[in-house]
Amino acid sequence: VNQATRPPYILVVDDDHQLCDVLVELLTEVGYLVRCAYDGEAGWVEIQARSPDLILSDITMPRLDGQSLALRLAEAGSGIPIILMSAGPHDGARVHGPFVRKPFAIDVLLACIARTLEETDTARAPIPH
Amino acid sequence: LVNEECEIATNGRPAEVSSLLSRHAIFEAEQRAVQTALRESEERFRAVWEGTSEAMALSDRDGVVLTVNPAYCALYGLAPEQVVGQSFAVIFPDEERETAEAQYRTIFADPNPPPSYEARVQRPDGSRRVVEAHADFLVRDGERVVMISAIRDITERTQAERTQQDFIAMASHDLLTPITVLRARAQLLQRRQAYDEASVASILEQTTRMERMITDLRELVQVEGGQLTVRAAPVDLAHLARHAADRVRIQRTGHTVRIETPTEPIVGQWDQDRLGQVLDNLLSNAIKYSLKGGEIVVRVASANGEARLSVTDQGPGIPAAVVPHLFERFYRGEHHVGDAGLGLGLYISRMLVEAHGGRIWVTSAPGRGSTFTIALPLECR
Repeated sequence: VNQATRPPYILVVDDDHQLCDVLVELLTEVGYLVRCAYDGEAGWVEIQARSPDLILSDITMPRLDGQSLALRLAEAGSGIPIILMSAGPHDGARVHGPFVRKPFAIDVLLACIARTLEETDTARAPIPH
Repeated sequence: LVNEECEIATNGRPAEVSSLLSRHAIFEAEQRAVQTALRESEERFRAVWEGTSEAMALSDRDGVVLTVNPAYCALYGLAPEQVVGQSFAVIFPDEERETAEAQYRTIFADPNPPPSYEARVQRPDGSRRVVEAHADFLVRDGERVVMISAIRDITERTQAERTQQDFIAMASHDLLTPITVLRARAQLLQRRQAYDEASVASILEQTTRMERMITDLRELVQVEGGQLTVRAAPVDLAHLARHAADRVRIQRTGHTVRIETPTEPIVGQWDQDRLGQVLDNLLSNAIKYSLKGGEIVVRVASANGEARLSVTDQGPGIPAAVVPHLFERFYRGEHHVGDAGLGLGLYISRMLVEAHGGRIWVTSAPGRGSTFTIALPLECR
């Protein structure tokens, strides 16, 4: 698929189903393609099935947390950008890379997504299975 | 008095043996009194020294232990002869002894030593404890000669504080979760400039989630603070179960609730609201953990002077390793789901059931659902 002809595809990973619902609605309305997964492992399965342009992931999740997911991506040599979100007071300081604190203003979130997509090198290695 | 007696004895009268004897007797009596007073004083101090729960040790300038009390020996799991005459640092793990001795010298020389300090020590069995020590000094001729250490084991307290801190961090994190959804929903409505029923329903649902968490926190404070009151009145457990099931049916979760009760009522002296709360909690857990819907069975029965109520779900079951911890305070399993509350429900339920003189337990097998049972005494306690 030509990157220029389709909207960016965003994978939302959060164990709060209701937050996933609202994020899917918001991002779809803005014009992104969106899918969601409810924990890090499920997210990893999604990533392998269909490589997203950006991942928006919660930190605290069952099975595989957001930081471990980011680490797994990095170890796989993937250049897919990942924005981590958390309500934890100290989580922001521990994250290398883009971070959005919960509860967020949707404008701040959308701006962070747009900026991260712009900054990302489009030539990425595929995710190994 | 002695001097007066001497006067009398030497003043003139022929050498009176009897007087001398009486002088001697008085002297002896006085000595005895002094000794008794000394012995009593020592006994009092010994009673304090031996009876106090505070571990105490005296040590000299070089850190050599002069004496220790029984609480000290109990705290470190050492006999007095293993410590007395040795460096106080025997209570530290090998690799930390040098640092501990240096610190000791600093404190001994410090004109304003800290009022207390914490240390991690090791018992001969390898177990490590956190202790808090207060140092005081015996001063002779203006110079410190002995350090008096009073030591308290604060391992449990430290652990409890950490648990409390973790809990507060977790609770605030969890309270922010519905707020995140709520705020995003409201902003999305604002952005759309249009009303829609589904968004408002979602917002209301978030407020219910928050209310439930806050209620749980309030319950926790009541339970922990011993403010839990049970207003006992005749209650029919079967009637209570039917009402709780009705409350579930209103929620339209896609689950069916079947009630099995005997024909005759099962009446005991219980608190209807508190038991209703326990039932709501068990039913909402059954719903939450059987995602695919299915049947939830509530059974009410009585046997051996006990009323029993059980809630059985068709969920994934609970791993055996988790079962013993399920009713613990602040316990949260690996399987905690994002939409759940603070994880206090079962702990509060246990406290409520126990306040009735009852018991609560679970039987479960992975893949075959779980059954939570409460047993309540039928007779008034």
